[in-house]
Amino acid sequence: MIRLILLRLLQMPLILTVILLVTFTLAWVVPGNPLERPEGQRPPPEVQEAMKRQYNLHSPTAFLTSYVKNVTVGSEQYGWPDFGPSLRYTDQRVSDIIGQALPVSAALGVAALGVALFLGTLAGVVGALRPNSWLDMASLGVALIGVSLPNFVTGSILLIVFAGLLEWFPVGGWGSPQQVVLPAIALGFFPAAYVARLVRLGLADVMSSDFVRTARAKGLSHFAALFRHALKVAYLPVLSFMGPAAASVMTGSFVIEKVFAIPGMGDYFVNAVLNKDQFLILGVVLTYATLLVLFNLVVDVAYAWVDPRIEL
Amino acid sequence: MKWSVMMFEGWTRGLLGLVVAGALLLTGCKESEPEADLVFIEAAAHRTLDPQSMSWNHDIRIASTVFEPLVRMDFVKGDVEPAAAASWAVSEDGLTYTFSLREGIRWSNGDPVLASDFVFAWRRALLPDTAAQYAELMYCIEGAADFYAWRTEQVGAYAEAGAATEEAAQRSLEEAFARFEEVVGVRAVDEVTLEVRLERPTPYFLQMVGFATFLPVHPASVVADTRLNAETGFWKTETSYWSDPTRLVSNGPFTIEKRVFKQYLRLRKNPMYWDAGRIRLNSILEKIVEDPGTGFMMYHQGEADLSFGIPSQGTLATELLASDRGDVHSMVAAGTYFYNFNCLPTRPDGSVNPLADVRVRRALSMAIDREQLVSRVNRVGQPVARSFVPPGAVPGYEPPVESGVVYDPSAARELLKEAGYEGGEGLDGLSILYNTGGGHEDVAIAVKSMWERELGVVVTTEGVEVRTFGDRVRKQDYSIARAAWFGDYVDPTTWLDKHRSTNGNNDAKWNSAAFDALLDEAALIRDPAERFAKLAEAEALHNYEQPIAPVYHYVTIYLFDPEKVKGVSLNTWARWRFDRMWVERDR
Repeated sequence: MIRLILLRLLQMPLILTVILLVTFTLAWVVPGNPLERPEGQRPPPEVQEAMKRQYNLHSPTAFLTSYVKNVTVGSEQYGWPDFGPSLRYTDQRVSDIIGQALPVSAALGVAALGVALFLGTLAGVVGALRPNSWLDMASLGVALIGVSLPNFVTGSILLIVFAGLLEWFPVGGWGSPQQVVLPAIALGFFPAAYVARLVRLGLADVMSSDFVRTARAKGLSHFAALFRHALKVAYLPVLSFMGPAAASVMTGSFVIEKVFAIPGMGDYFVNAVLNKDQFLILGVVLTYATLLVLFNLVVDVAYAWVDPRIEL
Repeated sequence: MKWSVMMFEGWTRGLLGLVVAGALLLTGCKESEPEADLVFIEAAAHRTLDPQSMSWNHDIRIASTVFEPLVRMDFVKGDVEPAAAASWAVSEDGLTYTFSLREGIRWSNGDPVLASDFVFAWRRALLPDTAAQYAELMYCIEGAADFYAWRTEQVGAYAEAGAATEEAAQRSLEEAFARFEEVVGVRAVDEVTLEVRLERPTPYFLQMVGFATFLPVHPASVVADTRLNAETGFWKTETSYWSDPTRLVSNGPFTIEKRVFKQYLRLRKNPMYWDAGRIRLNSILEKIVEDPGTGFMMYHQGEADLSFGIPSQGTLATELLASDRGDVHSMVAAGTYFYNFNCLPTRPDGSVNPLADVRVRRALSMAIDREQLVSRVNRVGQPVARSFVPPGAVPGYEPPVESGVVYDPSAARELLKEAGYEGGEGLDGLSILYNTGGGHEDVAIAVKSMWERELGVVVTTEGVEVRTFGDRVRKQDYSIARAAWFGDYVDPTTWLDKHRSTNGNNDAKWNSAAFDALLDEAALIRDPAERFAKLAEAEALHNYEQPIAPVYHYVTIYLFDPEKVKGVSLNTWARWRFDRMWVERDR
């Protein structure tokens, strides 16, 4: 398995290179001059040209060559890895932005995943234990709402009710554990609903399978059969879902961050494109892609551990 | 027992572990910042704190709190008051200004503030290397425009020569410094005396000196973080310098204690500031909250004393203004919302541009029911605009609103008939271009329907992303485009100069020799009243020609309890003096 993990890690540079090339091409062809600002006086053409040259924005090959060099080898001035400056926020370097935003998104993401797994598993198990009962219907209903509602609605409702009306939690911002609760629930609600559906469906299948029947025939209680045997099999699809879900929640949600005033990655992910901030676009996408690849690897490894029949 | 089984037997423990991991990560989060004497909410993250590079009001607000200009503008009274300069003298011909710095003023690191520090900062702004957004404000200084053009040419030639070496870049920079000393009319006579020679008398020069571009910076610390780029020959300050409070040296009433990008900015009273004894706030916390709803709720729950974050579009603003809350303050802003007409004789496809005809522009502008727009579409009480310069923005200047266009559909139809487009016949291919978001779509749709209803002119609306919008406006790839302009200094020219035929920001590409001549004539008049009269004459011509259709003047909404937050000076220009504010929390 170690060999296979190493092999997958070795594939990573290739995957990242392809992602870099595709993102770069898309970012390059988006109309608009990244150095131009809508306000103030416009610098003369010679200055604009020199500014472009300074950031290697005058030629796609020059840009790409210098970018790849700075990211992989590092630059003389800023060391390794140098993701370049933000063209929009001219006091900031992309590495600093990611360095500040990623831990915020990661903390929120872990909390949201905890919410998703806890609520999702609970709802799924309840549904499977008492199929077609009111509890099952209620959990399915909540899951349906969770999947259907956009998270800006979920977030706003939570904010208005629990922060605005009841004043149980702070309205927004970042820094204290209380400030994480509402956004984690808002962000974790969609994956929780998904997990609930997967667990319920999985358990329904597994509970009627031969090995569970055998276990029950041997005198194992329904509850013990479910928790000791069925749940781990039913959890396999949840595991595959958790890889991309983890990467997604860890790199933030633009809407949740806006609603709760959280300084995470999601905002940069969207606004970098709107601002045509080339360095920031590439930096954020590469970070996101690295996380996605790593989480998928973790999931695959966990999958193989859970079910030895699966080969990596 | 296999590990996998163990893992799933203890799945609840796994979940618990995840939650614990989350909690651990969270404990790694910083603790909430302690309360400050004044907490305010700002709706946008700062783009830069480099005074020479900035152009946004929220950046300028902090820059002028952290740095002290030679003189400050009192935006409520409309007066100029001494700041870093204790006094100044103006020569009889109005061309030479001599500033005497206050005795013993110091930078936050204890260094004395010298006249040469201002020369350094102003030279920095005039070097195209800095790409200062408002370098042009300095063009009234003798030789400044020439120097900027010369350095621009030098940078162009450097790139073309292709001999990019550090030595060559160094040589070119030294040459530029020498050239600056030789041609630009700014010099430090001694440590405390700064002499500025102007190209022509500029009655509003002192007001401009208070603007961010003219703020001083600490030469030694800036130079330590400034590098020469061998390839371009540019001399640029490191991006991170302005973010780092440990390196940033300032001379204003407050210093930056901590900056966490997009989260908050903590300011502390500068003990080295010459007037520190008078300042009642020891600390200020600026919270950056980009979502207006969240910002409002934070303010409402008492997490801030003051909020700049309520945009004038949207239901929140309407509801707040409709309420009888004593902490909602609405102020007319020194800005105008308008539509640019593309005045070029031909369209991008080479066909004749009907908007080049003044009658068509006037007719379209006359058919806009501005009252209806502000009362039914925007609904926050914006004053309708009949002039480009907002009335009341410049003390002593009365914009010639009587010459502005009024809503008169029948006169508009007559004009259109006269221009050969009776009932809108033949007037096709017009579209309203706007950038998506910010409520521009609502205004565009309303105006489109007014033109169709009143004039029979079929117009399309085109909403595009802001960068594409900017690109198309610059390339004149539009017929009618939404726009806005906020004044930078307290003089009508901050608006009127925009439509000089040579101005790079003249997006309408209106070319009027008569208008340019009136502005030139006004520039030579020393008597303020007479000068304003000449500028009003120029604006009246502008009103008649309608290169733009002014729609309304902006309104800004602020939230603060005047019983608690004291010393706030509400003003049209949205410039705030934190050094004059204090908070009485117990009331």
